[in-house]
Amino acid sequence: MFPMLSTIIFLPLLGGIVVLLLPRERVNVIRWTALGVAWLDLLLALGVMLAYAQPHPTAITVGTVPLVVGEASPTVASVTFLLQEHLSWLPALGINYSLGVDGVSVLLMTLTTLLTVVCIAASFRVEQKLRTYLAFMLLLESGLLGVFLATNLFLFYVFWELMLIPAYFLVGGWGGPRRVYAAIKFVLYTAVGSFLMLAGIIALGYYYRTGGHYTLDLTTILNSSTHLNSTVQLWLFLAFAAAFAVKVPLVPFHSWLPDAYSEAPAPVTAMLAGAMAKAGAYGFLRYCLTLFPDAAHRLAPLISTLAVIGILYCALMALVQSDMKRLLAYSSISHLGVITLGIFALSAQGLASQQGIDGAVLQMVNHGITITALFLIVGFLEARTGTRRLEDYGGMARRLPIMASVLMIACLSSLGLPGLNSFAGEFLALLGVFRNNAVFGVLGTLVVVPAAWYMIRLVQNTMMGVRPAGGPVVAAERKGGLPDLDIGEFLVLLPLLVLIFYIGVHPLPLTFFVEH
Amino acid sequence: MSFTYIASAADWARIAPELVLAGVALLILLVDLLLPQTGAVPRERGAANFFVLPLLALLGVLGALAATIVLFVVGDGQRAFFGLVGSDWGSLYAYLAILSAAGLGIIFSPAYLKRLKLVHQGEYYALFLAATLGMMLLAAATSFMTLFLGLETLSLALYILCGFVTRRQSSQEAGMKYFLLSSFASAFLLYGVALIYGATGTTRFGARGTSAFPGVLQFLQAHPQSTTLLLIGIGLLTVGFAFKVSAIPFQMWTPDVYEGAPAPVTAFMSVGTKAAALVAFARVFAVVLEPVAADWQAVVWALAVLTMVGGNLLALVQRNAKRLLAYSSVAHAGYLLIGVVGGGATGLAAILFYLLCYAFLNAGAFGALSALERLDNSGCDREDLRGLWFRRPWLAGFLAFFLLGLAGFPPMAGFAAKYYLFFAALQGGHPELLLIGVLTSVLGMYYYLRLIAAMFMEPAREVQAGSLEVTPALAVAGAGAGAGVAPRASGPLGRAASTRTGGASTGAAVAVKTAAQATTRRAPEVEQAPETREQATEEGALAGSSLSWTTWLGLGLAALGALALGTVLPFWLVDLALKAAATL
Repeated sequence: MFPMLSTIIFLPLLGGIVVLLLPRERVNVIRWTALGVAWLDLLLALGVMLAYAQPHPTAITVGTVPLVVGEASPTVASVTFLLQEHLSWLPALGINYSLGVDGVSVLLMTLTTLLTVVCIAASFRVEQKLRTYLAFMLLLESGLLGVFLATNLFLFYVFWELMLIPAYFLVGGWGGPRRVYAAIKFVLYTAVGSFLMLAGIIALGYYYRTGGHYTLDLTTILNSSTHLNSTVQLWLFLAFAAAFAVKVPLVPFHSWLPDAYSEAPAPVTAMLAGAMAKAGAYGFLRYCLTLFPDAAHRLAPLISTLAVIGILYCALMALVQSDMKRLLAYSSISHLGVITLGIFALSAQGLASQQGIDGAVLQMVNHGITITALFLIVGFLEARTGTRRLEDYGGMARRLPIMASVLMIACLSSLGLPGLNSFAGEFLALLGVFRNNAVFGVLGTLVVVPAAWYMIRLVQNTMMGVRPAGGPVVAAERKGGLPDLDIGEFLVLLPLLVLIFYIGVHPLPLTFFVEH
Repeated sequence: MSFTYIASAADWARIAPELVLAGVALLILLVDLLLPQTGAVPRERGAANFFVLPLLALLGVLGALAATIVLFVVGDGQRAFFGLVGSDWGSLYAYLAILSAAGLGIIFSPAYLKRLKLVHQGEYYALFLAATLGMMLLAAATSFMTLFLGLETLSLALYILCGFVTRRQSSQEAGMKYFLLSSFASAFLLYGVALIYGATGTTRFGARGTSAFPGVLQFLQAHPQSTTLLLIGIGLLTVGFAFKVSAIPFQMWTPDVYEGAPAPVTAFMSVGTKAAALVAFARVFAVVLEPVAADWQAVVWALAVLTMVGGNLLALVQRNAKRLLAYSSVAHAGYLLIGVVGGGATGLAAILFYLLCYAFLNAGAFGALSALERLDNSGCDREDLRGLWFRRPWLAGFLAFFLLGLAGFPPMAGFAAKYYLFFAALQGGHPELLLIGVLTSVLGMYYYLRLIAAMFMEPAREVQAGSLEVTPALAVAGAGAGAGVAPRASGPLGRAASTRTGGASTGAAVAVKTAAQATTRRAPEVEQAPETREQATEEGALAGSSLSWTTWLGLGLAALGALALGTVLPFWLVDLALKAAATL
């Protein structure tokens, strides 16, 4: 069988190497090659998505996740991986090269490839060290795709770390003035978490040994008859959660995020917020919930509490930011809190709620689309004026009507306006939470007030109101450097806008993937 | 008492790799005499050709490597010379690591020797091979006598190699320091050996599962109660070994020696000595002294933890890349000791595999630094490395690759090796070592990343783009600058320049500072004409991005090896290590 998933993962990597080898002067060739590779990957991913949507007789059902579907009695949903690829790597330690997709990873894979296309297209203005920049972007895509498609824990960890390297270089190499600080802080926070997860993975393989044979394959583990006792589950859950909690991030582990997001160049921030943050939520869903159901049940209140604190605290923090990127960064933490809350909306019996998970996955995709659009728009603004401070702006709508409308749409999507994409996801997720735990549900729902507030504040302070009398914006305007979105920029944002409307009206296809 | 000494042909065949090296080392000395010489005074006289001798040495290493592989396939794995030297797979596996490091060290050497005008190549390469020989002997030793022989062979050769740059004080100091401290440690070791001999009546190790050549192992299996004499002996032995593998608190020599020694030598010795000493350490403790494990395990456990924590903490504060790598190698010794504590086939196999991976990564990192090091041992500070990426992107890329590998990022070899080692810790019943190892690795990550940040993310010393605007700004600022005049004084020009280069205003700040430094530094040199000329040619060689092709070859090979070990090769190398460990 053609190794479709491997192709999707490694195509960007190869593309990156090709880009590095192109002659430095041929700037346009370099850009279009990178974009072409990203496009090709997106098409392949869409192909897999379509294939997945067909009824699949070859599906291999492996393992089960306890789930509550609707209000019916507890049923059990199975985890099914398609397009499996398996290559023996280090069988003695249970390490194999195995890939597979299920409904969740198919969505996140496609999201990643889409966002890479958008972000590479948005990077056409980058001039410094262009080849390396694009190669790192493509490498980042490879790492992310690997994280979503790996079904062996070792392989998963390899990709998990692999995506950190390009992210580190992208933040640190092309970022703003405090980029070195931001990049190192970002990597160190993540590294603490992921090293703990590494310890957890090693221990997991050790506990799931049968007769001297270790295993790290997710399929084998989920089908295994070995049942970890609850203490072991607890520790392993914590080790895994450490990595995911930093990546998502949950609140006490979030302080790297505003720095990294605000220092990184806008397309990179968009990739980090749109795709990489989802890796953490995906980890919670795929690994913490399925591998350690008892521990997840016991710790769900703790994680949910952290998520609720994050949702509210970061929404309030977003209210008082004067830097637009920091505002979006905090809003991003707040929204991801809702996702985490939905994932951990376990019932009293420790069963996951189908609505919660549906909503969380839907929201992962939606947030990816919306936050990417927002960061890119802010990036376009900053490229024109050189400032991100809200006070420097005002009354831009007259000068930049198209950009103002696009920003308005993205903001409305972000605050969860019904009819736009985020509404369905957040609603479902919070509904799932509410059903199982009304307190968390109510607290989580409270976020809509500050969310609307800070987003409207963003639009109002930049696009509406009084135009500033002086400052960098006026200076840029005098130089004639304040044009509206040009056709290229608009085309970059167009797919995101289309999706914002389309998913808003018709979210069913997405939930189809989650439930199948 | 009379001895009949019969060495069979099979015995010689079992040490074929060593014999090849010894032969080639002698050959190199001979060829050195025949090559056309240059230089007026004897001090400066040496072979004019910088290609023949390294090629010969490399061929020697490759020959030894071939002999090792042949032994892997057809060798009988028996001990040679009445149980004095092993030719088991464990030893052969260690040879692989040692010979890889030696080969890479030799490939990095010619460009370095040429640039620094070190003409006594004959001695250099002969000693290089002699040190390799000593390391292999140490790794393969199955008797305390052979062990000491190997140790001294490698040490004596390395003392001279460390002090090889006679015009550099720090190199001389390195050689001297290494000599003094190392002899001290050797004395400890020897005393320990003597006491163990007193306690057990034999210096042979004795093999597991066979009573062909009975030794210490058989004695201890028969008398598992350790006597005071034995305990003191083990203690002294531990000190000696801990020094050789540079475990804390016996690590003091490491940074000074690694920093002062010529970089290619450091590349080689940091790996080779460690590999040899650790394999010997593992063999003596985890195999031979295994019956009395309860007596030494706590001590080695403490050494491992101290070394992991201390090595990483000390590396945090280093500003010089060579010193940083030295402390990081201390930290790696700590990780490796986990394997000794964990013991068992997995622990030993993890050590063997780790050493092989480490050989490529560390040799590569020091090899990259060898292209930067100047005669006065400058060029490797973090300040010097700033913005290296903008000046020499490929070199910086390679160095970053190796550093990331050492930090334990997949898919480079360092990660696979660490994974296996930590796994061995858990399997050996030491989950706490797994946790400590993992957490100290995070510390490690910080200093490697800091160095990479300096190379890739901080502004270059010479501001690259927009030099038209920058130059006058520099001139103004540089002329007017006392040390403290901030770049803002250079006004709009400076600001224009910094926005143009895309960086912060720090870009200009750094440029101004270095320009000022450069002028003050240059000034006194004018009086010493020859020195300056030397410096100038050296700068010329350093500034051009045209590295010697040999260095490229070395870097490429090391990178390829590191990548292959991390991705494809574990397939069978880990299995091989597991089988090899069983034969130690």
